[in-house]
Amino acid sequence: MVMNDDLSNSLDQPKGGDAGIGEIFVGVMSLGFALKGWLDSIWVDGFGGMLLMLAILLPAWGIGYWASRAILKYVIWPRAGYFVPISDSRKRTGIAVAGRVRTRLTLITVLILTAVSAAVVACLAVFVKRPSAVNYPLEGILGTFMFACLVAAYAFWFVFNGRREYPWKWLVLVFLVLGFLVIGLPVRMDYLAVWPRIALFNGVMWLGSGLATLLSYVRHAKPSTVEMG
Amino acid sequence: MNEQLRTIAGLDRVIHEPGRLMIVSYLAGVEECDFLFLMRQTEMSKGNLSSHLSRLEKAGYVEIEKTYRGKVPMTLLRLSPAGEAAFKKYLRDLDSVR
Repeated sequence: MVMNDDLSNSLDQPKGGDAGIGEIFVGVMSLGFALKGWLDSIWVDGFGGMLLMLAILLPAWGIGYWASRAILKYVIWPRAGYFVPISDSRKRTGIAVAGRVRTRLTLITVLILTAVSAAVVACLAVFVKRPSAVNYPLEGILGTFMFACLVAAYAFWFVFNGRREYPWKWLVLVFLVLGFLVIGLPVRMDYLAVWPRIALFNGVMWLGSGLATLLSYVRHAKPSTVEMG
Repeated sequence: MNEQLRTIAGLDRVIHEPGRLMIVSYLAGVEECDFLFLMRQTEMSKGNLSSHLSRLEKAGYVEIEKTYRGKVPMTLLRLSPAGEAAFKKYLRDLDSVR
């Protein structure tokens, strides 16, 4: 038995998708990637590059993670209440079944996206090996491609979850796609230099969109002032 | 009385009341939640929600834990194993009379 979609969807909302947490997290990570790419271009390569990646991306992940936790604790829980989603091992009854249907749909989509991605990367890798090809280093292609996948995942999330509450995010999506096309796909450009620019652009867009969503949430949802229970 | 009517007559009345059914449905989808979350989701008043929760707790379907998050009092709620079983049976019964 599958419960009403609204009931099922409402259980997803306070997890943060409706207050911009996900976008803020991805935005911070993207800016970390942009910084890493920029430092790469002026500093180190090889093993030093790996260390640099850890030195930048781990703090970026930490900042994103702790910002998410802080928003949950100080913004969302006092307004929407606190809940722990049911774990996979203890899925029960109707709502859990509805959740499982959505999870399956998401998994299938991710699998298809991954397969398409792998095919595109394989084609590009072959293209790179051709002597007449312009210089497309694999790292640059993968970096650019990773952000293409992120934009696709964002579009997927927006179409299935976000469009009803925040119609203005259509603009964010359009800008992300246009920005990606304008920055990322000019012919004969050096992809090693391109992907940090895409990371910077996407990071700023996601961070901005996430902060705007958070501000909108704070303005419209007031914290509870009564002692509960 | 035919079998379907007997099933309808035997529906769990604690769960069958719309307000409590809403509460149990939400609790079935979470490990635990606080009073505020349930109040926001069900749009019930504090008194109404409290009274339904008391009834469910008395039936052994809901576990209520008074605690603190920092210095803020917090009432944690979760469906008990008995509540989970009763809700599953209620859904099965409803399915069988459709």
